[in-house]
Amino acid sequence: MKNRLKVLRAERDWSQANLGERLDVSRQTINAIEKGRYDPSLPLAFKIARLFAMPIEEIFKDEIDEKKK
Amino acid sequence: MRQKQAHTRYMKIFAPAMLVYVIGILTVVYLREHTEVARTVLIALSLVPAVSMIVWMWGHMRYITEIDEYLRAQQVKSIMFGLAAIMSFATFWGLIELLVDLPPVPIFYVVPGFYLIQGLSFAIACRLGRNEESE
Repeated sequence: MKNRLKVLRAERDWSQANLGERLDVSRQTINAIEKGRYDPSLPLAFKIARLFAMPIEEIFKDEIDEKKK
Repeated sequence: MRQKQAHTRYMKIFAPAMLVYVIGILTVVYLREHTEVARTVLIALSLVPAVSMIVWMWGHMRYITEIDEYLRAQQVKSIMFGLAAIMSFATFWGLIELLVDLPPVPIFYVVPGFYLIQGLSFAIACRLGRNEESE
């Protein structure tokens, strides 16, 4: 699953550790999500969406849906 | 931060439990080899490291439930890696002992062996993540 977390974080000038603190997760978790090595759980994805005040689908893109387009 | 608190809480259980485990095993082995302590006493003393192992595992279980979901997944992977390595070694060595004249390895070495491999694989997973980040 692709995501725009790195871009959204950079727009706000937040470090990975900073974003991790806001989401109550570790810096390693943010790094793994940004690199696409880990897909967050639904509760964490909702938390991220709430933090950036955006719908989940604007942050996370399903690669299968992307290929269909 | 939550992860640090969980780690601190885990270390507060891990360090004394490990110490009791090591001291317990060394004490029983020493008393058996160098003294005339009754066997029933030694059997009772053998429960000390066994109980400390339960406390240790309980602390680890609590740690896993307290860390975030990604670190939890990494922990589970490293536990599976540690279990696979130590169980395959135990199986192989156990069979080899039947076939060839090899010195028997005390079964209590399984615990430090497991934790050594589990800890190493978790550290490697964390290091790989850190290297990717610095790319």
